[in-house]
Amino acid sequence: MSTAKIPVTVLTGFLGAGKTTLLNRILAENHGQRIAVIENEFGEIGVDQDLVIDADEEVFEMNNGCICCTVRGDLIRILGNLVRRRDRFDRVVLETTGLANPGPVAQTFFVDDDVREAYALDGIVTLVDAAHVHQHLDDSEEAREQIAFADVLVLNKTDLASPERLDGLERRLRGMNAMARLQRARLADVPIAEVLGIGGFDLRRALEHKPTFLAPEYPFEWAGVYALEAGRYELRVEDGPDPAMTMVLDAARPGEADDLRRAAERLFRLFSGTAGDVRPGERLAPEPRLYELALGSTGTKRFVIEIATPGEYLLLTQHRPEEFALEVRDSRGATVAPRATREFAPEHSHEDAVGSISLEVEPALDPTRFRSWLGALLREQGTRIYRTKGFLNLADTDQRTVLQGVHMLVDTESLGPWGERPRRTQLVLIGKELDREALEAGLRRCVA
Amino acid sequence: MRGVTATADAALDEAWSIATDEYPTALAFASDGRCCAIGDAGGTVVVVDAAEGRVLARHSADAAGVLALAWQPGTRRLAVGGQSGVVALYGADGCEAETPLDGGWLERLAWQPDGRRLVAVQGRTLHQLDADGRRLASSAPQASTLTGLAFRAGGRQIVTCCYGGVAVHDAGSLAVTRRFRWNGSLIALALSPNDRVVAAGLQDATVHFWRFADGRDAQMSGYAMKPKSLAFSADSQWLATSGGPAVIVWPFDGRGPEGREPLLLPEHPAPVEWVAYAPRSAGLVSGCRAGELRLWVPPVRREPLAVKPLGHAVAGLAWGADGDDERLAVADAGGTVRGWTL
Repeated sequence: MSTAKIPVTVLTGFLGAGKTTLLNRILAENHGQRIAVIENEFGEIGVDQDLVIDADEEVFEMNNGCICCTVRGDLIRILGNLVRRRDRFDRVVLETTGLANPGPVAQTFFVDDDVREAYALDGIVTLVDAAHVHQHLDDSEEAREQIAFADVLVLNKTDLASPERLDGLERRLRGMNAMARLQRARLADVPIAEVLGIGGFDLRRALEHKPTFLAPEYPFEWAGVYALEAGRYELRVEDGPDPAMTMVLDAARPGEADDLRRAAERLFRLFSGTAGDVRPGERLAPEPRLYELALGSTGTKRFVIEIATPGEYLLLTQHRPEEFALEVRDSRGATVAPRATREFAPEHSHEDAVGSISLEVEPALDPTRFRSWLGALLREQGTRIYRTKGFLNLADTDQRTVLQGVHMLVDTESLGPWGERPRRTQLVLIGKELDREALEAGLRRCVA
Repeated sequence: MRGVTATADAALDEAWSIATDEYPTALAFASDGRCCAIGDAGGTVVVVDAAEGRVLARHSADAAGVLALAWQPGTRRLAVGGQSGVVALYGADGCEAETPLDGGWLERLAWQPDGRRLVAVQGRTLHQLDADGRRLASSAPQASTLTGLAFRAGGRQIVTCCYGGVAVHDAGSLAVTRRFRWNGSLIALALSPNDRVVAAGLQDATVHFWRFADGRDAQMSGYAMKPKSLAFSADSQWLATSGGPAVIVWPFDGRGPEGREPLLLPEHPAPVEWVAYAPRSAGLVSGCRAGELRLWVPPVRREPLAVKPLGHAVAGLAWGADGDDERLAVADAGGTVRGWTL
């Protein structure tokens, strides 16, 4: 009998968001894996599979009545029985009811000893109905919690919403959960690899997939595509809120001009590298390279762009152009308007009290002080902190420590030496009405 | 008498072993202790001779997997329940009756001591069947899935437990006649053979018990894990509990365990999965996740009388009594069931 833990994927989302459609896609796809399905409600369409178990949602509060200690009793029994047939399946997909709070499901994997022994929570995938989610988010605590808990957000039924609406929705979701990966879909048609085996609860694997997951989703707020002839152009920047701004100018690859998200995915890694400083009057080469514009002087600042090959060029900027009245002008001084633009800034809507906060501290932390700070934080605010993930730079070890939690429950694990990676603590908290300044100050006080 | 005593250096002799096709999920000795039924996750039930392990019958019982077995007292009739939600009765000529009960897994079965009625737990509901498998009655759904089932008061009462406490049902109407409420998830039940105490293991790593006489209750905490296996000794004086690598045994003699130290038996190398007291003697067996079986005679001896490595996690234990002989069947997660005689 194999001793490797069985991965479990939790599917959440409101009724009608497309959970069953996604489930059937997962089952139909030829991925070579045998999947046991635990269903919680009769979906829009039936699930066609040998190993389907109907669960009867039984949320158990522990004796102290704290929501952080609620677990799903039915899952403990079902998973306990299922493990006896583990030679017949490779992974479990667990579909929750539309109105379910994912907390008790996730906590079951932390709290119950038998479940922990045999299973590993691979990830929480939340389906979002692009046409109706705004209303759900406004009206329903459960909908907000489902967003907050997700490792992957599938923005489904995108054909039923305008591109502007989708962009706005995406920014709203980002604002609530900066940690999750976002996928767009029409009929829940997301690549299966984006949903299964994502290692959402395994940061080692999560990092292989997206090394900057702890940073805000995109380190730039704006992208535009310009059709440029061969010749000389200038980038004009007026006075703005910051003395410097990072940016990338690069020729668009096929398909990118029509899909700035693709361009963003290709270029965002540049933003975590070293930027070349550029002063006004200096040249910006149109190539995959990160620049930092020196904007400290007052008045109009001009940067030179020379285009050798006519075509479409991408401009990605750290801040939105209007903050600096940034524009591209041709050699006659006429403004060249971008053919298409896209904003990448997360939208922190005040109605969404749910949000993500990422904290970063370079000096090593005193382990005792850190544990007591985190313990007190989760004790006092654990009911409104949904997820905690991060890496710890602790003074008493040369190993990188990974931390992850659900509400008040936290696990840490040593990940091995830091190697080439910069030693620092990175922590992301997703929760409701979190006080960034207090959290930052608290974490800083843990520095050894 | 060949049962376990403190003076006799009893050895645990392996009498037989048999391989199951799938993970063994249920074990039960017939009331005369002469045969033992073994159910597995693939739905097969094998009946073996309890002294030699010779296969007497093989049934394809529940394609979705067997969960519960119960022999009718005084006969060779076996009730089988499983994930298909069908109660099947097997006799000398094979399957005699099949009764589908809508609503999911059948996790527990028990015969009334006189053998006239069979009760089955299906989720939140208790069903009552006659000896031919006909459904007579079903209870109202309880607060959550029932996790324990036992007959009491000579078969006039049924005791169940679930999230929220213990319920006592009238065995005829199945109506709840008494409740011991507790705000927690009860996952295992043990009724003392003298009918005085009911004890439950809880998800939150405690054991709670109630006295029938006055309803007085108490809680035992300090467990490392949820105690999912509990057993009273045949004389009702001791309650053995799992809930960590050590078996913890509470005294129920005289004034009870309140304010007293339990016996903490030397630890297994891994968490204990099962504990079971012998039907007649003071013998207690425990089996752990690392596949080690231990035989004890607490409180006379603190050290185990026998230690047997099985190679796989212990998946089930059952005792049977054949005259003066006590027989033990032990299933492991690798699919081997062994029979031992004391």
